[in-house]
Amino acid sequence: MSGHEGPSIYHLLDSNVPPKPVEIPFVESRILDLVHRISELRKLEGELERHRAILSPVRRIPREVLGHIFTFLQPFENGEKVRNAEGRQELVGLSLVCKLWHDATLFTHELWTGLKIKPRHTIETFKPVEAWFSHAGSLRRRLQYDGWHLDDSEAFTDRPRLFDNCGLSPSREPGPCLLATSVLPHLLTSGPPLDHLTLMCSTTECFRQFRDVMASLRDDSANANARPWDTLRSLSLQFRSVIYQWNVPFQPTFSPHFAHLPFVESLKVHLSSDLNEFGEDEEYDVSRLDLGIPRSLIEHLTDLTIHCTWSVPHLLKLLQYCTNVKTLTIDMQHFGRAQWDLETIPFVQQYLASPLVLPNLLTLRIRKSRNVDLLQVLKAPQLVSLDIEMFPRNPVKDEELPVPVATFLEQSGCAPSFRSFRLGTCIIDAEQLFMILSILPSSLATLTLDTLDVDLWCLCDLLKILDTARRGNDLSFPYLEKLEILKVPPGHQLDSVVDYIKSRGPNSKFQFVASYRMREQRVLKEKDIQDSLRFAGSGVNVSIKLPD
Amino acid sequence: MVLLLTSDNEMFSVAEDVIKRSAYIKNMLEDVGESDLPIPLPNVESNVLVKILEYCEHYRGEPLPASDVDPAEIGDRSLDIADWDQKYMAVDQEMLFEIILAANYLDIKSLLDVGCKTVAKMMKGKSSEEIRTLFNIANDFTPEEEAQIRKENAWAECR
Repeated sequence: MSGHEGPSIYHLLDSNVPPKPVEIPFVESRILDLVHRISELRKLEGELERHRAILSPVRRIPREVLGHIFTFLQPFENGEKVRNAEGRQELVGLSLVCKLWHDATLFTHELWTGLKIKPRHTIETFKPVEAWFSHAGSLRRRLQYDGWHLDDSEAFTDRPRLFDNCGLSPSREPGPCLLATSVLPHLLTSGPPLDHLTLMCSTTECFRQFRDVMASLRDDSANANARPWDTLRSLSLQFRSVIYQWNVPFQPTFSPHFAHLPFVESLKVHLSSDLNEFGEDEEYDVSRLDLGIPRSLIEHLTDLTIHCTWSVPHLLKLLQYCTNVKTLTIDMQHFGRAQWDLETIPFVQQYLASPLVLPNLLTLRIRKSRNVDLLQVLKAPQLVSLDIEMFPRNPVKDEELPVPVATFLEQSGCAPSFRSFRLGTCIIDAEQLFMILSILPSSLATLTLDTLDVDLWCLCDLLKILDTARRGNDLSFPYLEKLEILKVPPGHQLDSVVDYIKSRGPNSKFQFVASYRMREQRVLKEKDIQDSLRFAGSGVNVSIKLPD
Repeated sequence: MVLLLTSDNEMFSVAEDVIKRSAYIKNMLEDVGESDLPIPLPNVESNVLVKILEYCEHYRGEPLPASDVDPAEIGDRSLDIADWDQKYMAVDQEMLFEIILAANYLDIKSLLDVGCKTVAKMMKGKSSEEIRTLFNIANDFTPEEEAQIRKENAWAECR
């Protein structure tokens, strides 16, 4: 009790006796006193926290380390390394935590290198975008324009529109092309220098209008030669749909959209699969189609990615000038002819007799293709890495993969430089996969089997038999540094792989990385495998990733 | 063996191939050569060094990260953390930041990355206010300063 004078109310606390009228004011006074003291204690608690904060180790984290932490909060989409609205808000949120964090965001150039803009970012956005990129220092800047799919709010503009092909539903009122009226042409004319641009257009018609606007802005520009568009190092052009012109009689042609591209080192062209309909139709002479990329530009490229459904002759027309290309990615978008009959195509015949040489090619990636017949007409004497992803739904037929891969590697003569092989996303017999693995050059350092539907027991048994047959000589893959078996299918275990690694004995020192496809499946854990290999005296280091 | 002297005057004798994961120590050993004198670590307390050595010991024999990274290139920024590293980082907030500070001082890049990823994961999806509460950080902006930052970045919210 406090020192208040008056009747004792102590007896009331532990009983249900109602207070006498004379006692009520004392109870009320006591309540007020306690409320006040609680309030005081809360203030003290706040003070305590503020004093504790002084000692908080986060205060001692230097600005550059804070910035390093922030770099792990980059919301990259599909490897584009650009910030969309959500990512921008996250960065602004970090800068609002306190003054030190604000400084840390501003001084961490890496946080400001990439931006994604949309059609609704009009000329009014020019200054803010310029200010944003100014924080990137001397780092390479990346800009992505996303005009791929638009909803009504994204396409909002008060300007009348003349075209209805900007990713909007045809029922909307037509207006000017949203790409041409966005801030993009202005940024590419008089904005900050850019290293990379990704231009996601709804149609090729949008790109034509964009080029027209760029041409008119060039006329207005006093410093025409230093446009960011002209000094791009890397360009990705993506078209959701392609509008073809039709010649008489009914032959589609591809407009010269690419005649005036900047002189980039890295080019990615993504065409929609519309033309596949022509490609499968005998009525049209698709071999007449040509992307029309200037030869001088192709010869300048060191990195080329082509997403298109055009077939071998079209690719060869392009590839014949790729004398400087080091990294080549061909994505067939799940289309392409199921089986190219190469011998019947006149333009291809010369390359069957004498393969097309890609003298500087180091990395070749083939994506989402139904076959790899293209390999039979290519030669890459300096090849380091071959990476193949197949059409995931069709099982690989007999020798559909081993023969072209073997032909390609043999005619390339790349054994001294060859270091890495990856096979991804395919349904394949263990025997077929074994055939491929057994023809890989012994210089192989990294082997990746990713998302394969294959019988691992059978495959490992075959590999063991091969090693047994080589007794006294080197094991297969004697220079292996990393074995990756990723996204092991449900129902499969890694026991067979572990057994195979054990059978190789203590001299194998590579790193084994594996992951499972499904969370639900019963899996062998990293520690179990590590213990098992250690017990067997294997020098292999293990890292197993469970599904998220 | 290498002798290390912590800020609270504890001496540690550590195998050279273990502590060479620290670029700071590695460079020092290369510059000074073999010596019986301990290397002073005035920014690292003994309880933190114990934790750092646990990490170095676990990764003993693994190749050291390459130092010839192009600074103009943005490296891997995934928030993936290996199982063992996650367990290693399951410490209280104070120790977590102490590890980060020590990893930064000793220049152990892989450990610094794991620590920074762990903190980034704690922050992910949180508002400024929630982050302040999480790490006990005072808001030292005036309302006017805060309003100005919001105004300058209003465009950034445009989707």
